[in-house]
Amino acid sequence: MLGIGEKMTNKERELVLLNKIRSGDKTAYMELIQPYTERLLRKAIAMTKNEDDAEDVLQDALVSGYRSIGNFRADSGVYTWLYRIVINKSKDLLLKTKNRGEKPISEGEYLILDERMGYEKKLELNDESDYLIKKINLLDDVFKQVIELRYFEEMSYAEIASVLECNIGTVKSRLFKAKEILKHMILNDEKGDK
Amino acid sequence: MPLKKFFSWFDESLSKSTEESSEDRSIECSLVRGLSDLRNKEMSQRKLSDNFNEKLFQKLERVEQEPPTYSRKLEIFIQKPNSKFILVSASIFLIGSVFIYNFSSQKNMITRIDKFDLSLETAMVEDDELDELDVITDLKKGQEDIDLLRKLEEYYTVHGNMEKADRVHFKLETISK
Repeated sequence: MLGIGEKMTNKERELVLLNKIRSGDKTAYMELIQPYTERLLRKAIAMTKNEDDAEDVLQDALVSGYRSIGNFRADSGVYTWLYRIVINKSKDLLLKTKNRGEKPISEGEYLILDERMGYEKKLELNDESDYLIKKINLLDDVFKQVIELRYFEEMSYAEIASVLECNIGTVKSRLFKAKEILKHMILNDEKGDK
Repeated sequence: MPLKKFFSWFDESLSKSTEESSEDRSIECSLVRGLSDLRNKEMSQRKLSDNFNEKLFQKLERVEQEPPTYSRKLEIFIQKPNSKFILVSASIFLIGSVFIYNFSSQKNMITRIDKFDLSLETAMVEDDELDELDVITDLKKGQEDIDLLRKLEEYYTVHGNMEKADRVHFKLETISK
Protein backbone atom coordinates (compact mmCIF):
# COMPACT_ATOMS: atom_id res chain seq x y z
CA MET A 1 0.00 0.00 0.00
CA LEU A 2 1.30 3.43 -0.86
CA GLY A 3 1.64 6.01 1.84
CA ILE A 4 0.28 9.54 1.74
CA GLY A 5 2.38 11.76 -0.44
CA GLU A 6 3.72 8.91 -2.52
CA LYS A 7 2.78 9.20 -6.15
CA MET A 8 0.49 6.51 -7.48
CA THR A 9 0.32 5.48 -11.10
CA ASN A 10 -3.02 5.80 -12.84
CA LYS A 11 -3.49 2.05 -12.71
CA GLU A 12 -2.82 1.93 -8.97
CA ARG A 13 -5.18 4.82 -8.39
CA GLU A 14 -7.87 3.02 -10.35
CA LEU A 15 -7.37 -0.19 -8.40
CA VAL A 16 -7.72 1.65 -5.08
CA LEU A 17 -10.89 3.34 -6.31
CA LEU A 18 -12.29 0.08 -7.69
CA ASN A 19 -11.93 -1.57 -4.30
CA LYS A 20 -13.79 1.33 -2.68
CA ILE A 21 -16.52 1.22 -5.35
CA ARG A 22 -17.03 -2.51 -4.91
CA SER A 23 -17.72 -1.89 -1.26
CA GLY A 24 -20.45 0.57 -2.30
CA ASP A 25 -18.65 3.94 -2.39
CA LYS A 26 -20.42 5.93 -5.11
CA THR A 27 -18.23 8.98 -4.67
CA ALA A 28 -15.24 6.82 -5.54
CA TYR A 29 -17.01 5.88 -8.77
CA MET A 30 -17.48 9.56 -9.63
CA GLU A 31 -13.79 10.06 -8.98
CA LEU A 32 -12.89 7.06 -11.15
CA ILE A 33 -14.84 8.24 -14.19
CA GLN A 34 -14.01 11.94 -13.85
CA PRO A 35 -10.91 11.96 -16.13
CA TYR A 36 -12.80 10.20 -18.91
CA THR A 37 -16.25 11.77 -19.04
CA GLU A 38 -15.47 14.48 -21.59
CA ARG A 39 -13.64 12.08 -23.90
CA LEU A 40 -16.57 9.68 -23.63
CA LEU A 41 -19.03 12.48 -24.32
CA ARG A 42 -17.11 13.29 -27.47
CA LYS A 43 -17.47 9.69 -28.58
CA ALA A 44 -21.20 9.69 -27.81
CA ILE A 45 -21.71 12.97 -29.71
CA ALA A 46 -19.82 11.63 -32.67
CA MET A 47 -22.05 8.59 -32.77
CA THR A 48 -25.41 10.12 -32.01
CA LYS A 49 -24.68 13.51 -33.63
CA ASN A 50 -26.84 15.13 -31.02
CA GLU A 51 -25.43 16.67 -27.85
CA ASP A 52 -28.54 16.06 -25.73
CA ASP A 53 -28.82 12.45 -26.82
CA ALA A 54 -25.10 12.05 -26.25
CA GLU A 55 -25.36 13.21 -22.63
CA ASP A 56 -28.25 10.82 -22.01
CA VAL A 57 -26.30 7.98 -23.60
CA LEU A 58 -23.29 8.80 -21.44
CA GLN A 59 -25.36 8.95 -18.25
CA ASP A 60 -26.92 5.62 -19.15
CA ALA A 61 -23.53 4.10 -19.94
CA LEU A 62 -22.00 5.30 -16.68
CA VAL A 63 -24.91 3.97 -14.64
CA SER A 64 -24.58 0.61 -16.43
CA GLY A 65 -20.89 0.69 -15.68
CA TYR A 66 -21.54 1.18 -11.98
CA ARG A 67 -24.10 -1.60 -11.96
CA SER A 68 -21.77 -4.11 -13.56
CA ILE A 69 -18.54 -3.01 -11.92
CA GLY A 70 -18.44 -6.20 -9.85
CA ASN A 71 -17.71 -8.13 -13.02
CA PHE A 72 -15.22 -5.64 -14.47
CA ARG A 73 -11.71 -6.97 -14.94
CA ALA A 74 -9.33 -4.17 -14.10
CA ASP A 75 -6.71 -5.44 -16.54
CA SER A 76 -8.65 -4.16 -19.56
CA GLY A 77 -8.46 -0.52 -18.39
CA VAL A 78 -11.30 1.65 -17.14
CA TYR A 79 -11.40 3.94 -20.18
CA THR A 80 -11.50 1.05 -22.66
CA TRP A 81 -14.26 -0.61 -20.68
CA LEU A 82 -16.38 2.57 -20.47
CA TYR A 83 -15.66 3.33 -24.14
CA ARG A 84 -17.19 0.00 -25.12
CA ILE A 85 -20.25 0.62 -22.99
CA VAL A 86 -20.71 4.05 -24.61
CA ILE A 87 -20.44 2.49 -28.09
CA ASN A 88 -23.04 -0.13 -27.21
CA LYS A 89 -25.42 2.38 -25.65
CA SER A 90 -25.05 4.69 -28.66
CA LYS A 91 -25.76 1.81 -31.02
CA ASP A 92 -28.85 0.94 -28.97
CA LEU A 93 -30.09 4.52 -29.26
CA LEU A 94 -29.42 4.62 -32.99
CA LEU A 95 -31.29 1.35 -33.44
CA LYS A 96 -34.22 2.62 -31.42
CA THR A 97 -34.44 5.80 -33.46
CA LYS A 98 -34.11 3.78 -36.63
CA ASN A 99 -36.90 1.45 -35.55
CA ARG A 100 -39.06 4.44 -34.70
CA GLY A 101 -38.29 5.81 -38.15
CA GLU A 102 -37.08 9.09 -36.70
CA LYS A 103 -33.67 9.17 -38.26
CA PRO A 104 -32.38 6.75 -40.85
CA ILE A 105 -28.89 5.50 -40.09
CA SER A 106 -26.38 4.50 -42.65
CA GLU A 107 -24.02 1.54 -42.51
CA GLY A 108 -21.15 2.12 -40.15
CA GLU A 109 -22.69 5.20 -38.65
CA TYR A 110 -21.30 4.26 -35.28
CA LEU A 111 -17.84 4.71 -36.71
CA ILE A 112 -17.37 8.22 -35.67
CA LEU A 113 -14.45 9.29 -37.76
CA ASP A 114 -16.17 9.81 -41.09
CA GLU A 115 -19.24 11.35 -39.46
CA ARG A 116 -17.24 13.46 -37.10
CA MET A 117 -15.07 14.81 -39.82
CA GLY A 118 -18.10 16.27 -41.53
CA TYR A 119 -19.51 17.43 -38.25
CA GLU A 120 -16.29 19.03 -37.15
CA LYS A 121 -15.42 21.00 -40.24
CA LYS A 122 -16.00 24.18 -38.31
CA LEU A 123 -13.01 23.22 -36.14
CA GLU A 124 -10.69 24.86 -38.65
CA LEU A 125 -7.91 22.34 -38.68
CA ASN A 126 -4.65 23.23 -40.31
CA ASP A 127 -4.22 22.31 -43.97
CA GLU A 128 -2.13 19.22 -43.34
CA SER A 129 -4.54 17.79 -40.75
CA ASP A 130 -7.53 18.64 -42.89
CA TYR A 131 -5.97 16.91 -45.90
CA LEU A 132 -5.08 13.83 -43.85
CA ILE A 133 -8.53 13.55 -42.34
CA LYS A 134 -10.10 13.75 -45.79
CA LYS A 135 -7.89 10.87 -46.85
CA ILE A 136 -8.79 8.87 -43.73
CA ASN A 137 -12.43 9.40 -44.66
CA LEU A 138 -11.83 7.49 -47.87
CA LEU A 139 -10.67 4.36 -46.02
CA ASP A 140 -12.89 1.37 -45.31
CA ASP A 141 -14.60 1.33 -41.92
CA VAL A 142 -12.32 -1.35 -40.46
CA PHE A 143 -9.26 0.77 -41.23
CA LYS A 144 -10.85 4.00 -40.02
CA GLN A 145 -11.66 2.30 -36.74
CA VAL A 146 -8.10 1.28 -35.98
CA ILE A 147 -6.70 4.64 -37.08
CA GLU A 148 -9.13 6.42 -34.80
CA LEU A 149 -8.52 4.20 -31.80
CA ARG A 150 -4.76 4.34 -32.21
CA TYR A 151 -4.16 7.99 -33.05
CA PHE A 152 -7.26 9.78 -31.83
CA GLU A 153 -7.97 7.80 -28.67
CA GLU A 154 -4.27 6.98 -28.21
CA MET A 155 -5.04 3.40 -27.21
CA SER A 156 -2.49 0.61 -27.01
CA TYR A 157 -2.76 -2.39 -29.32
CA ALA A 158 -4.16 -4.45 -26.43
CA GLU A 159 -6.80 -1.83 -25.68
CA ILE A 160 -7.82 -1.61 -29.33
CA ALA A 161 -8.07 -5.40 -29.48
CA SER A 162 -10.29 -5.30 -26.42
CA VAL A 163 -12.58 -2.63 -27.94
CA LEU A 164 -12.81 -4.37 -31.31
CA GLU A 165 -12.97 -7.82 -29.71
CA CYS A 166 -10.23 -9.24 -31.88
CA ASN A 167 -6.63 -10.24 -31.29
CA ILE A 168 -3.61 -7.95 -31.23
CA GLY A 169 -2.27 -9.44 -34.47
CA THR A 170 -5.42 -8.39 -36.32
CA VAL A 171 -5.11 -4.87 -34.92
CA LYS A 172 -1.49 -4.60 -36.06
CA SER A 173 -2.21 -5.91 -39.53
CA ARG A 174 -5.24 -3.62 -40.00
CA LEU A 175 -3.20 -0.65 -38.85
CA PHE A 176 -0.36 -1.54 -41.18
CA LYS A 177 -2.74 -1.91 -44.13
CA ALA A 178 -4.49 1.34 -43.27
CA LYS A 179 -1.20 3.21 -43.27
CA GLU A 180 -0.13 1.56 -46.50
CA ILE A 181 -3.34 2.63 -48.23
CA LEU A 182 -2.97 6.16 -46.88
CA LYS A 183 0.61 6.26 -48.09
CA HIS A 184 -0.40 5.20 -51.57
CA MET A 185 -3.22 7.73 -51.68
CA ILE A 186 -0.85 10.53 -50.69
CA LEU A 187 1.86 9.39 -53.12
CA ASN A 188 -0.68 9.25 -55.94
CA ASP A 189 -1.73 12.81 -55.12
CA GLU A 190 1.92 13.90 -55.20
CA LYS A 191 2.39 12.31 -58.62
CA GLY A 192 -0.79 14.00 -59.83
CA ASP A 193 0.49 17.37 -58.62
CA LYS A 194 3.72 16.90 -60.53
CA MET B 1 32.56 -4.69 -63.41
CA PRO B 2 30.34 -7.12 -61.56
CA LEU B 3 31.47 -5.95 -58.11
CA LYS B 4 30.82 -2.33 -58.96
CA LYS B 5 27.43 -3.27 -60.36
CA PHE B 6 26.63 -5.13 -57.19
CA PHE B 7 27.57 -2.16 -55.03
CA SER B 8 25.58 0.25 -57.14
CA TRP B 9 22.55 -2.07 -56.89
CA PHE B 10 23.12 -2.34 -53.14
CA ASP B 11 23.30 1.46 -52.83
CA GLU B 12 20.12 1.84 -54.84
CA SER B 13 18.19 -0.68 -52.76
CA LEU B 14 19.51 0.85 -49.58
CA SER B 15 18.48 4.32 -50.62
CA LYS B 16 15.10 2.96 -51.75
CA SER B 17 14.45 1.26 -48.42
CA THR B 18 15.51 4.40 -46.54
CA GLU B 19 13.13 6.37 -48.68
CA GLU B 20 10.32 3.93 -47.87
CA SER B 21 10.92 4.04 -44.17
CA SER B 22 11.03 7.83 -44.25
CA GLU B 23 7.63 7.76 -45.96
CA ASP B 24 6.35 5.48 -43.23
CA ARG B 25 7.75 7.80 -40.63
CA SER B 26 6.16 10.84 -42.21
CA ILE B 27 2.76 9.08 -42.38
CA GLU B 28 3.14 8.14 -38.73
CA CYS B 29 4.02 11.71 -37.77
CA SER B 30 1.17 13.16 -39.83
CA LEU B 31 -1.33 10.79 -38.21
CA VAL B 32 -0.14 11.62 -34.72
CA ARG B 33 -0.10 15.37 -35.43
CA GLY B 34 -3.33 15.50 -37.42
CA LEU B 35 -5.46 13.49 -35.05
CA SER B 36 -4.07 15.10 -31.92
CA ASP B 37 -4.86 18.46 -33.56
CA LEU B 38 -8.43 17.27 -34.06
CA ARG B 39 -8.62 15.88 -30.53
CA ASN B 40 -7.35 19.06 -28.91
CA LYS B 41 -9.77 21.23 -30.85
CA GLU B 42 -12.65 18.93 -29.95
CA MET B 43 -11.63 18.93 -26.30
CA SER B 44 -11.79 22.70 -26.23
CA GLN B 45 -15.32 22.65 -27.63
CA ARG B 46 -17.06 19.73 -25.94
CA LYS B 47 -18.13 20.41 -22.41
CA LEU B 48 -20.48 18.50 -20.18
CA SER B 49 -23.55 20.34 -18.96
CA ASP B 50 -23.15 21.93 -15.52
CA ASN B 51 -25.45 19.54 -13.72
CA PHE B 52 -24.14 16.40 -15.42
CA ASN B 53 -22.34 15.07 -12.33
CA GLU B 54 -25.21 15.95 -10.04
CA LYS B 55 -27.70 14.14 -12.27
CA LEU B 56 -25.44 11.13 -12.55
CA PHE B 57 -24.91 10.92 -8.80
CA GLN B 58 -28.67 11.04 -8.23
CA LYS B 59 -29.10 8.17 -10.67
CA LEU B 60 -26.35 6.20 -8.96
CA GLU B 61 -28.10 6.63 -5.61
CA ARG B 62 -31.00 4.61 -6.98
CA VAL B 63 -28.82 1.87 -8.45
CA GLU B 64 -27.29 -1.18 -6.81
CA GLN B 65 -24.30 -3.13 -8.09
CA GLU B 66 -24.97 -6.50 -9.63
CA PRO B 67 -23.35 -9.34 -7.68
CA PRO B 68 -20.28 -10.77 -9.42
CA THR B 69 -20.85 -13.91 -11.46
CA TYR B 70 -19.58 -17.24 -10.16
CA SER B 71 -16.63 -17.22 -12.59
CA ARG B 72 -15.69 -13.68 -11.56
CA LYS B 73 -15.85 -14.64 -7.87
CA LEU B 74 -13.53 -17.52 -8.62
CA GLU B 75 -11.15 -15.20 -10.48
CA ILE B 76 -11.11 -12.75 -7.57
CA PHE B 77 -10.42 -15.60 -5.16
CA ILE B 78 -7.56 -16.91 -7.27
CA GLN B 79 -6.03 -13.43 -7.62
CA LYS B 80 -5.67 -13.02 -3.85
CA PRO B 81 -2.11 -13.82 -2.67
CA ASN B 82 -3.39 -15.84 0.32
CA SER B 83 -5.61 -17.88 -1.96
CA LYS B 84 -2.66 -18.67 -4.19
CA PHE B 85 -0.77 -20.00 -1.16
CA ILE B 86 -3.81 -22.03 -0.04
CA LEU B 87 -4.32 -23.43 -3.55
CA VAL B 88 -0.67 -24.37 -3.94
CA SER B 89 -0.60 -26.00 -0.47
CA ALA B 90 -3.83 -27.88 -1.18
CA SER B 91 -2.45 -29.08 -4.54
CA ILE B 92 0.78 -30.27 -2.93
CA PHE B 93 -1.18 -32.02 -0.20
CA LEU B 94 -3.48 -33.66 -2.74
CA ILE B 95 -0.63 -34.81 -4.97
CA GLY B 96 1.24 -36.09 -1.90
CA SER B 97 -1.81 -37.96 -0.63
CA VAL B 98 -2.43 -39.59 -3.98
CA PHE B 99 1.22 -40.57 -4.25
CA ILE B 100 1.36 -42.02 -0.73
CA TYR B 101 -1.93 -43.85 -1.20
CA ASN B 102 -0.79 -45.35 -4.50
CA PHE B 103 2.57 -46.29 -3.09
CA SER B 104 1.15 -47.90 0.04
CA SER B 105 -1.59 -49.79 -1.78
CA GLN B 106 0.92 -51.02 -4.34
CA LYS B 107 3.27 -52.12 -1.59
CA ASN B 108 0.42 -53.80 0.26
CA MET B 109 -0.60 -55.63 -2.87
CA ILE B 110 2.92 -56.84 -3.52
CA THR B 111 3.24 -58.01 0.08
CA ARG B 112 -0.06 -59.82 -0.14
CA ILE B 113 0.84 -61.51 -3.40
CA ASP B 114 4.26 -62.51 -2.05
CA LYS B 115 2.74 -63.87 1.11
CA PHE B 116 0.08 -65.64 -0.84
CA ASP B 117 2.53 -67.23 -3.27
CA LEU B 118 4.82 -68.31 -0.48
CA SER B 119 1.96 -69.77 1.50
CA LEU B 120 0.55 -71.47 -1.52
CA GLU B 121 3.93 -73.01 -2.30
CA THR B 122 4.12 -74.24 1.28
CA ALA B 123 0.58 -75.53 1.00
CA MET B 124 1.43 -77.43 -2.09
CA VAL B 125 4.53 -78.96 -0.57
CA GLU B 126 2.87 -79.88 2.70
CA ASP B 127 -0.07 -81.61 1.20
CA ASP B 128 -1.56 -82.95 4.42
CA GLU B 129 -1.76 -79.55 5.99
CA LEU B 130 -3.35 -77.97 2.98
CA ASP B 131 -6.74 -77.27 4.49
CA GLU B 132 -5.29 -75.84 7.63
CA LEU B 133 -2.96 -73.39 6.01
CA ASP B 134 -3.09 -69.85 7.24
CA VAL B 135 -3.29 -68.49 3.76
CA ILE B 136 -6.55 -70.25 3.11
CA THR B 137 -8.08 -69.06 6.32
CA ASP B 138 -6.74 -65.60 5.56
CA LEU B 139 -8.59 -65.54 2.30
CA LYS B 140 -11.82 -63.77 3.03
CA LYS B 141 -13.55 -65.00 -0.05
CA GLY B 142 -12.97 -61.62 -1.58
CA GLN B 143 -13.35 -61.29 -5.32
CA GLU B 144 -9.78 -60.02 -5.57
CA ASP B 145 -8.38 -63.17 -3.99
CA ILE B 146 -10.57 -65.44 -6.06
CA ASP B 147 -9.49 -63.67 -9.24
CA LEU B 148 -5.88 -64.07 -8.26
CA LEU B 149 -6.35 -67.78 -7.63
CA ARG B 150 -8.08 -68.16 -10.99
CA LYS B 151 -5.16 -66.46 -12.68
CA LEU B 152 -2.76 -68.75 -10.87
CA GLU B 153 -4.79 -71.77 -11.94
CA GLU B 154 -4.74 -70.51 -15.50
CA TYR B 155 -1.01 -69.92 -15.27
CA TYR B 156 -0.32 -73.47 -14.11
CA THR B 157 -2.69 -74.87 -16.74
CA VAL B 158 -1.04 -72.93 -19.52
CA HIS B 159 2.42 -74.00 -18.35
CA GLY B 160 1.39 -77.61 -18.14
CA ASN B 161 1.65 -77.96 -14.40
CA MET B 162 -1.67 -79.72 -14.07
CA GLU B 163 -1.06 -81.01 -10.60
CA LYS B 164 -0.63 -77.53 -9.18
CA ALA B 165 -3.49 -76.24 -11.30
CA ASP B 166 -5.76 -78.91 -9.81
CA ARG B 167 -4.71 -78.00 -6.33
CA VAL B 168 -5.46 -74.37 -6.93
CA HIS B 169 -8.76 -75.32 -8.46
CA PHE B 170 -9.51 -77.39 -5.38
CA LYS B 171 -8.69 -74.42 -3.17
CA LEU B 172 -10.89 -72.23 -5.27
CA GLU B 173 -13.78 -74.62 -4.74
CA THR B 174 -13.09 -74.66 -1.03
CA ILE B 175 -13.17 -70.91 -0.85
CA SER B 176 -16.31 -70.68 -2.94
CA LYS B 177 -18.22 -72.96 -0.53
